[in-house]
Amino acid sequence: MIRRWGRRRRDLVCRDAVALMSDYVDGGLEPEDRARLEQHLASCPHCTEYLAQLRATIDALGRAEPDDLSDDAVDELVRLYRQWRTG
Amino acid sequence: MGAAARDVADRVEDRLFAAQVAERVQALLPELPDAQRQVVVLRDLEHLEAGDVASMLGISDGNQRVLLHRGRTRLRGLLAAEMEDVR
Repeated sequence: MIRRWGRRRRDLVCRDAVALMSDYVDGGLEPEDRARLEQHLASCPHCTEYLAQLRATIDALGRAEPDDLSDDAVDELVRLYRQWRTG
Repeated sequence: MGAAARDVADRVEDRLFAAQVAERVQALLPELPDAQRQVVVLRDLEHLEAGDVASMLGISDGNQRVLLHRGRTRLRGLLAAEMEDVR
């Protein structure tokens, strides 16, 4: 019972950590949340690995050139820019 | 192989791997729901500011952050699943 309780608590903390990671990568967390996340990362190899994968995903997106996008994705992008300009 | 040659080989391998990941992440973009994909493309591929993306899509800053978080998280998961298959 105690073990299960402990596991559930840890899961909740990891879920909270994951929820903060996208804002963390963008430097958009409040100092208190950033400190809490970094404290969690220091003791959680799973979340550290998860964060590295998230950063790698964002880096990979950043390396993509709009020319490399599918025709549908380019059409969507052009539509959004036009809509924004005329909106 | 000497240390210097190994270093060069590692860097070439890293670059090739990074290029492969960039190609895969673009191929996976259509898997995202429309709103998540639009935010991810505008933020991480086009490198627009959060406020501009929110105004472009007519959504709140909070919603923009949530969609970005969900889209990035989903792409990370899809990429991780592909890496597992390769192993």
